Amino acid sequence: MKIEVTMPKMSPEMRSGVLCAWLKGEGDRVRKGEALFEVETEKVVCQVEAERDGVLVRLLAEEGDDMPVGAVLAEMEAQP
Amino acid sequence: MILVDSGSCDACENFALEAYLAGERDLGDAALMLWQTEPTLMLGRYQDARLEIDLARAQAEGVAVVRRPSGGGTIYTDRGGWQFSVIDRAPDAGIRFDKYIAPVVEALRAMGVPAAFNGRNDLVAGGRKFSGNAQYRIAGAAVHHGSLLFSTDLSRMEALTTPPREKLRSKGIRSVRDRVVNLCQFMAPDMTAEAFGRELLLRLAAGCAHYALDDADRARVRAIASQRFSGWARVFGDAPPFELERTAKLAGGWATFRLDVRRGRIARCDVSGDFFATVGADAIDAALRGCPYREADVCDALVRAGLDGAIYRVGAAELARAIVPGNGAE
Repeated sequence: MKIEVTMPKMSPEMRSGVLCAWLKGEGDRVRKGEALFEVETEKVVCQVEAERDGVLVRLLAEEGDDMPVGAVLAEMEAQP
Repeated sequence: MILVDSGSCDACENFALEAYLAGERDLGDAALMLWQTEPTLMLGRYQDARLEIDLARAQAEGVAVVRRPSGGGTIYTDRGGWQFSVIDRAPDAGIRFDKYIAPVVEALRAMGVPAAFNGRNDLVAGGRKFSGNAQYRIAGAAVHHGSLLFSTDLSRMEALTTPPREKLRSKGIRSVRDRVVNLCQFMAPDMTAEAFGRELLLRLAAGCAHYALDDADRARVRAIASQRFSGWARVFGDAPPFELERTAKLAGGWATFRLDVRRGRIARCDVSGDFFATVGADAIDAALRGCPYREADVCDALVRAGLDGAIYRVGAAELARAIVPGNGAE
């Protein structure tokens, strides 16, 4: 099952975040709780974790991109 | 809250202690650190040193250049200021600054400073900033740190954070320049930065337990400092991607280099100009792809590819200097 990895909303005021780094690449197997990417907003850098086990199929945002909350950053093939 | 003293004025060792307490050593309660540095420029997590710092001046003056794991802009710290850190192993789900900043505001007000939280990330007195704050979060922990200007050399701060202009485009975070003030202006004239720190600590850590690092803790902190916070790769390799254009007058004519640098390494180097060469520009591009964007590495890569002297009367060392700006922190 395909699932979307999106820019999280980390505070009530947050509108967007800068994708600082992908910590996993296309084709990588990831486990729930593993850090997927780093995002900066309002002087806070967060490591965002995978919510499911699966394979990171496609990255849709590049490092350095300022992405709105809810924007799709990657596609994952979730494993049951 | 548990007070932990790093015993170090090295920023990387203090970042390492924060990381150790956030990710490895759970003291069972939030940890508090109050620390100082020797003269240091701290980049935010996603900033480009070349756009924020006069690197040649920093090197000439022996000022350390480091990258914080937290967000925001570049700050200059010295023994005239203090940093406070809170390592919270049970943070709120959403981002919060107020809960970490409020005790500092309260302590400073009790010491006579008209301190106020500006509602975002900074502490101000009389409308001028004396403290910037930033955070990072890893699984299950938030690390908050803030700076406090007491008698920091503000003219040096200004000079070191004014880099020479480069034609450089980066997606990184840019620093915002604020009007700043030293807290010594609000204190008795004979109060030193050391005395200020001692008094602040008495207030912030009132009732706190104290955890003394043992030899194993110190060894691990030093290892984290060296692996995750020190060196060229942290300052330049963890930087945002950038594009840079440089023009240089060589012995045989002008050359313009258009560079694409990702994670500190050259992804592309277009060369054009009216110089005489025995090779095509493609050969220079091919030699430099994947090479760290650092003068010594560029020179080595050119020599290895047999390009030393391939441009008329220009050796590899001169070509490397033309491609990489004189860069102190390298």
